[in-house]
Amino acid sequence: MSDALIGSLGIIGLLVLIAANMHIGIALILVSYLGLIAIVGSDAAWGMLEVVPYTFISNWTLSSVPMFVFMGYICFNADLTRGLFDAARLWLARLPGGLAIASVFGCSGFAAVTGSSVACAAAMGKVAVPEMLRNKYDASLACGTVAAAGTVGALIPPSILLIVFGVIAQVSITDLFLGGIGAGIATALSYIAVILLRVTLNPALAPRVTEQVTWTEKFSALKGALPVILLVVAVLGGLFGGLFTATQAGAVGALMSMVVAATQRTLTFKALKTSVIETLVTCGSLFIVTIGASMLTRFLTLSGVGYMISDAAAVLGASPVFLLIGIAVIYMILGMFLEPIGAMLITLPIFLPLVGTAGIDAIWFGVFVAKLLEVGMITPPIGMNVFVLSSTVGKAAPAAIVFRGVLWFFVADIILLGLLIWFPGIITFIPQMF
Amino acid sequence: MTHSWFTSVVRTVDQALIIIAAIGLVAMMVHISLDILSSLIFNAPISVTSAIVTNYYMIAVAFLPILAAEYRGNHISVNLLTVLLPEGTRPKLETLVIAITAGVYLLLTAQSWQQALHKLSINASVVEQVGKIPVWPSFFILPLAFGTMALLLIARVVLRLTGQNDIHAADAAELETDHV
Repeated sequence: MSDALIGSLGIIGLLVLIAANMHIGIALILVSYLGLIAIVGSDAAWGMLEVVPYTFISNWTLSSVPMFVFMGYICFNADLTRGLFDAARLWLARLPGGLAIASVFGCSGFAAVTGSSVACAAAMGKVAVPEMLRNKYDASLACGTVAAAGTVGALIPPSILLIVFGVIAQVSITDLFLGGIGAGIATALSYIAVILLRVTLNPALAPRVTEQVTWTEKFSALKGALPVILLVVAVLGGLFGGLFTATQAGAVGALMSMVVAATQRTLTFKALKTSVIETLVTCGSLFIVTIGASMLTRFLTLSGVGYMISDAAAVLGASPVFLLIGIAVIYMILGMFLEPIGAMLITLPIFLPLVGTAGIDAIWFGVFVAKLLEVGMITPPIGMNVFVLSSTVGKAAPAAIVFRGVLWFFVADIILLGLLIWFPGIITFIPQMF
Repeated sequence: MTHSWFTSVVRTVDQALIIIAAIGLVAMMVHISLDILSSLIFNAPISVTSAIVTNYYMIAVAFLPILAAEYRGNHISVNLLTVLLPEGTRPKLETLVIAITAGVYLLLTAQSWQQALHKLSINASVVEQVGKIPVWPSFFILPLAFGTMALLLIARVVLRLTGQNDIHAADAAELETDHV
């Protein structure tokens, strides 16, 4: 049996195990181990099993993951982001669909303290959706907006997806984060355009808020958002200004969010304990998958199956654009069934050599993949953001209503993905300035 | 060995591992922050920070909560296809998959134990400006994490084969996580 055949069988075996509901990390480890036994023998395979878990995890860049996850959970559990939405609400309420636009702003702001889109959707779901429903907004518009805008959480830095991509692809996390800003802002703007369009076409979806707001109230609401804004400026400013590494930015961010929560009197023992446990459980489930992906990379590299796929793509004469459209379709399908981290980690060992050969910029590709996978968060059947939002809001938002509301934003996402391929500068413009 | 006995053992082990990992998490945050403060104010970073973070805190935070994630049903997997299986087949396939998973964890335990013993025998350490920092103790975190996980999975297989209820945090009524 040729090595490339073993590699191909390995990929098929992996898909079978994942379909049988095996933990993805374990499926990756098992397939890579058996594959390596077949290619290089049992001693070398055992050696790899010995080396990879410890050496892969004891990595300075990777240690930014628990720090940023921790920061996000503290901000979430201590309710630090309510002020962001309140400020945006008072300033934007008079626009058509103003509350929905404010919730996009709220999500974008919360995105700057968390790396997870689910946390983003849940946080704004608690705050913004009840406010919109109280003002007689259409339920599918209200819920759809927040479920979709949550995806900005994984694009605007910090982003767990981008950190993991950076570690696997061995590119700069800071550059990826800078690239994520462009994609995140473009996403938020496209969602605001969707809201304006929908409400203009059908004003009944979002009745104008008649409540009179004085300038004093507007400025005092800004004061409420100030602590979180300062937190974001310090953490991301320090990172992009070259003062911190990503790990240091995460650690300072986690500590500062505790201090901010303490000054706001929302840092309860329960909030802290929940944040710690949620962070650990996230790490416990995430890192085993990254270890598996690292092993799969070794196995596929040795089997040469990656080159086989690159060659096949070259023979088919696939231009980079067709290649990207192909990859996009695969990710959209995988994103329907898999969590973003899992989908990314099982595919990168195959796709990275492919896009490398095609001369596609790795920073651009990382952000593009994050955006693609986030689209999967709002598509049926397992759009996580939709279900989390639905359970956060309660019976006013059954999943079917949320999916209906999300459809418009999904169309905007598809258009934006096309624009990202057409105008890669949307992503690469900001990293190039630094 | 009854179900409630299993559950109380798992809960105790889960709490113990979480407490150690939590110390690692908080220590990581405080240590890195102090390092930055010290380098900004006194221009004197703590020279061992990176070695301690990567060799101790990260290892504890990444491996010890593997059991916690299992106990709370948070491991990343796809159950979309197996739910389509007939009622009679699905539990059997689940048990088989858990048994294979237990086998992989046993393999990881054996390998990491062997590695830990080796690191102990050579008194493994990393060299920093201030001298050598021993890192061999952290290698024992891996077999501890993998081994407890393997035991939990084996217990789950036994419970399933003997027709008892499976272990989940949900039936322990102490699901602290909101699953966000």
